[in-house]
Amino acid sequence: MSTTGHTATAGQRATGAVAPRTGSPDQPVLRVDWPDCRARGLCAELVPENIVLDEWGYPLVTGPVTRRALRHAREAVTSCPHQALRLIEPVRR
Amino acid sequence: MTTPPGELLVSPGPLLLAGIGEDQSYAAHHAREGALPQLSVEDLLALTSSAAVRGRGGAAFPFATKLSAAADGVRRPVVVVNAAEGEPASAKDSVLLRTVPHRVLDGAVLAARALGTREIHVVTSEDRPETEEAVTKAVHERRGEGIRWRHQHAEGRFVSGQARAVIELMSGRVGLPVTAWKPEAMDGYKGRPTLLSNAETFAHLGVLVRRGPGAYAAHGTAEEPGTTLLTIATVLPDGQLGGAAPHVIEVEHGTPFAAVLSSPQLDAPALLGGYHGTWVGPGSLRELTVSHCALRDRGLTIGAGVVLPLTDGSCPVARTAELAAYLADESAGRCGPCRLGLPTLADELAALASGADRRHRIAEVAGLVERRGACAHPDGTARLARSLIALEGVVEAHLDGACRCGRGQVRQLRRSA
Amino acid sequence: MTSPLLWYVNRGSGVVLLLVLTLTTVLGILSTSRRFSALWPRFVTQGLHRSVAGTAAVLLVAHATSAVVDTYVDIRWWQALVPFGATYKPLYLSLGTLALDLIGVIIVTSVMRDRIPTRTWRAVHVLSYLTFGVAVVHGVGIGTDAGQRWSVLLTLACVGLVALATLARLGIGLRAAAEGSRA
Repeated sequence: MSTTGHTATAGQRATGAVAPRTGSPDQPVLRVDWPDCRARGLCAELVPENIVLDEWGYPLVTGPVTRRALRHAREAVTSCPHQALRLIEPVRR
Repeated sequence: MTTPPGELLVSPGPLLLAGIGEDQSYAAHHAREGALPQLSVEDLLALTSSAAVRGRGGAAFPFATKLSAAADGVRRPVVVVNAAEGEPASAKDSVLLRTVPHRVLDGAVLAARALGTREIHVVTSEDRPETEEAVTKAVHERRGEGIRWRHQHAEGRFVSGQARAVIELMSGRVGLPVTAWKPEAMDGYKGRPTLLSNAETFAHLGVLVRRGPGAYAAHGTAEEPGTTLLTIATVLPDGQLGGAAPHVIEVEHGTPFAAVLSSPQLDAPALLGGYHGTWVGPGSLRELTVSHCALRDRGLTIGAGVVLPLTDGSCPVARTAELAAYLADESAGRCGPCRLGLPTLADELAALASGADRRHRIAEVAGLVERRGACAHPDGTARLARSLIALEGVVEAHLDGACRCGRGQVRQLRRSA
Repeated sequence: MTSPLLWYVNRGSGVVLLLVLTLTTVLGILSTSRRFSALWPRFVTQGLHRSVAGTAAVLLVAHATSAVVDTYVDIRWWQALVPFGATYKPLYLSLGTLALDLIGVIIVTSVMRDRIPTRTWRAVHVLSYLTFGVAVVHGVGIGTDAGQRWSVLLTLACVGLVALATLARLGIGLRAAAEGSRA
């Protein structure tokens, strides 16, 4: 696991589930607030299971968050220097 | 030689564009049509879902779903008529507001009353001053109606008409997109349910109620009742095609393009939907119909109703490179993947136009910008690029030098360096 | 009650607090940098900043509590929380209390960061520079070892480190602004 974050290709992205923009998902999912994101890259270091960096240093969310990665996903959310990452959890009906 | 800005051609139509030659002032409209019926939300939902009314802003979202979400909120809703028409090639909303504004405003008032609100905002764009004047006049004519009209003036940018950009403008901030965590119909302007729809959508609502569902569904198909407005467009970033004025027509759903376009238009490659739309190859329009569903099934889109045939013999590859450069310029610049990815995409398309086979890289960059922004601007640009690559034979012909445009002659790209 | 232990805890925690607050402030300033390496990933500086800040908070509680509990010097509990009404060295004690209050607000807003507007969080957090200065003056004014050579050197070194980090930060900020205007 590279702690510096690694860049991704579009192919990697195509295999991951891409979450819709709004609405409640079935599994917890990470969403980026794009106007706030400044490509600092901490998220890719903290939750590499779900985030890799593209060629411009911006996060690519590669799929829903599994139970094992949930703790790391939460840490990534609190660690973002610009509060640009959110964890959207399923609404239990 | 180009047509003076603001000049548009419009033909009469069966529903929205009926009687455009007649007096369309509010007094005449009211005298002809009578008082606007008062319908409940349930009535409107029933009407709009059985008539399958879809939004005409480009996303074709089911209007009944949006109305239902706005009605379900706790706080007092607000209605927004979006006539910003950020798509430069489109003229349908301007035509509506300049010829039959009260059909649009009727729809807005119907929705507002059903939602129990008096507040209606109408958004126009500073780069379409005739439309702005028409709205000012129309709203003034309706001042006795008990509606609190607010006329919003958007900047003439491509993304100024995006829903959240409009709400930002209404809120007194810069009119550019921001991230939406909930749909604006649920949580929009000041956290209130916001029914924001395209001007043409409200016109359909108005006509549907005034003429009745029977008369409305007498046009179109069972799956897609009614009509839609098309702009037979001529506007590209470097100016107008052959100096012709855009032509707005009303067409029943299901009508073949062959019935509304001329032979040269049908034989040319064409951009369908607008600058965020999809390309069709030469002659393809002969097999297609004006139908959101039929086009969607073929990977195409009706978008904002723009049909832009390249009747001047220009090449889709070169045109796409120009369009991508324009769209990159028009990015709000707020989101990294869009701000950085769109110029990259434009550069790759320019390289393609110059004869380098960059298709793989274009697809890669398109994949990197999609759904990674606060709005759909990168998605639309990616869609345009992907549709070019998907055009059978056209890109190959261009790369082989067999297309008529001549590779070295890519027009001056409007990019700020 | 009084005892030498309380006295040493208070003085000791005071000196260590100077070091820990210096480290916290410098780490916080360096967290704005975009530099990273395989050995020092991006999240480390920020993570350390938070941990060290937590340590400072604990030390601060010990420092203030020992001052109040020790009856050798008359410091009432409210004088540790409110920066006026002190009887023992009122100016310098109040500065200490002010620093404590500021640190409290800074920490609370940071814990609640996702629930408050970003500009509010930032406005409070920028007070760290002021807080550090206030804490240093408090130590120089009220510290019983303040006149000692080691204490003077230590204080100068800590202030110097923070000043250096601040200058580096200004450099980052100016560079970023220049890049922003060039784009």
